[in-house]
Amino acid sequence: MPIIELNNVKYRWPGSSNPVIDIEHFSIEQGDKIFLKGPSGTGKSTLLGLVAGVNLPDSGEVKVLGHQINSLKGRHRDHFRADHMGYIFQMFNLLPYLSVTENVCLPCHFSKRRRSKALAQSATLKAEAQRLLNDLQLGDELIHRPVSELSIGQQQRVAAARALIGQPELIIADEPSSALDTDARESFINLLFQECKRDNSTLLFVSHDDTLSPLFDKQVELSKINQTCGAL
Amino acid sequence: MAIIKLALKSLYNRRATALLTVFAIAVSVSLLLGVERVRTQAKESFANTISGTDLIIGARTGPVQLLLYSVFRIGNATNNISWQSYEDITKQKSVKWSVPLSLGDSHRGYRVLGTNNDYFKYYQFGQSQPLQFHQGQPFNSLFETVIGAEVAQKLNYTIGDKIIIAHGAGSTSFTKHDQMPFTITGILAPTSTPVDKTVHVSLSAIEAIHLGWNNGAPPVTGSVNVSTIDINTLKPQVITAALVGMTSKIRVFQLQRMVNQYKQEPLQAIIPGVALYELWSMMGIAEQALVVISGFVVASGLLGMLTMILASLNERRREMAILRAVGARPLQIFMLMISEAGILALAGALLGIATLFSMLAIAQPILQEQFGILITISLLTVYEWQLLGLVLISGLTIGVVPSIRAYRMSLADGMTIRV
Repeated sequence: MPIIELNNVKYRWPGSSNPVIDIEHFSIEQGDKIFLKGPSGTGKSTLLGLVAGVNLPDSGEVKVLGHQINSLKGRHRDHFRADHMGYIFQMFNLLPYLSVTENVCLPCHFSKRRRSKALAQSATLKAEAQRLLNDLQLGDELIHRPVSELSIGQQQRVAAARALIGQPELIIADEPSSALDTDARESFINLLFQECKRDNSTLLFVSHDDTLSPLFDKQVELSKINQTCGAL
Repeated sequence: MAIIKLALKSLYNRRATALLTVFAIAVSVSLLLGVERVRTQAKESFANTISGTDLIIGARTGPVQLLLYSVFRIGNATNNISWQSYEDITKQKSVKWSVPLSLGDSHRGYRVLGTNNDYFKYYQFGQSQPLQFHQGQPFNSLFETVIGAEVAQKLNYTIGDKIIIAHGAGSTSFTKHDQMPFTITGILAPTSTPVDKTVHVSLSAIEAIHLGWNNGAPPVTGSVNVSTIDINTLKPQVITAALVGMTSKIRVFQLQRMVNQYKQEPLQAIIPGVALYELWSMMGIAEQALVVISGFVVASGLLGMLTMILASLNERRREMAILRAVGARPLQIFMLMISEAGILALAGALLGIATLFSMLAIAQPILQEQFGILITISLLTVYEWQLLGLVLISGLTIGVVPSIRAYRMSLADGMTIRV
């Protein structure tokens, strides 16, 4: 069963007549590490919004883990996202007023499922957060610093730990490494792979940077599946 | 629960602005409660000063002025009543009792009241409470005095102490009746009225200390021999005012008319309750202005909070996108914002209560000393709780504005980070 499946999905921004997304079919299998390539302005973030259930398509269906999420009610979509998806932004991922571990534990306050899964791994949420952070090569010394004192690379690894806590089935990373330099980029991606493999999570990695694509199992070009791009 | 924790941490992160907002609300809340408390308690304190007296008779001035100088010992009488008129009026059948009052001297800033022992029998305050002796007994001979509770406490006097009375009402006087010291025979129990600040002597004593005075000038030294004063010759010529109790309430107006139309000299009689009401309605406008002003101060405090939250909204769009990404519903974003407003308003209200009580503790002795108004530091009344509730509800209502904005933003932005 594909973990993500889009059929005849069309989406246009409110007030605009041309759709930004027009995808006939797109699917991802469970456990895959997908590299979704697209230059900016091709509707990447919109597509991720559709998958995450924040945006609703004008027509067509979006299925995640077999659930047609575009027919769920708003609060159920939010709940579904909390339970099954981890999300990493390009930058500024962390809440400045929370500590590193509090940032990592954040999804467990919105999802009981992820909370109990995290507690099945470690005795406390804090211990599980520390385990993940250590796995992502953030030492105990860094963990106790205020979030604002961490480097961007360190912040992205904290964000990765937050996406991974409670083992969600799907990790979505929206250009998570574009603010990192080349060395940090590769090591970040390798650490992410390692953790996804451990939890058998699917990784949807979005980037405009072609040099990363060989590291992944599969590569998809957004312009190939999104028919609006051809028309531009 | 998690949302409130987040709100607290977020506010702590912006503690400088959050604290200022809380202070602004606290100041406004303490002002609101303070005005309310002083207003109601001053009213109560005034109303409790005299009870059981049906009429106050004095020289013709205004009702409020007569009330102020005869009962509250504020200001001075412009004229007196002759003893003859006093006896003439009070011999009416409808008069149950009467107490003459003679003012004009002082002891170290405390007013001296010349009266007779009926004063201790008939003067009532609060809810018809009579005066009670804490120690000792009424004065029986010429140079004896009964002092109020505050006089005894502040000047550290006990029964048997000798005091000297000064001429005039000021706290420092250059002319003292120092050849005639008074012995304290009694100390009254506290009443929280101007009685506490009064030195009581007999009318004869007032006459005695002014023997030989002429046109307001003291006697030549040695012209009055204290040992030869004959108590029977000391008939008072004039008094300042008189308190009257009637046999029946219906007769009050009759006697009042008679006094007001008294041919021999211009007099007036006032009903204490009516004069108190008049006094209060004079202050009513100022009082209402204070209430309105304090209401506006609360509004400006809450608007300050609105400004602070709205100003922070734009820079917090990223925060909302992150929260949406980890699974927060737009409703939870709304709750986050509104609980921030609630926390600020609540902290402001609590700090306001604390400020109120510390201000009252500081102001209480000053108000009592300067204005004779007793403010009791008691727990919050139901009405004050209602005011606080109103402040909190207003805070939450105002908090709806940024919360709805945040809700809309989080729906529109989704997880797109806009900086």
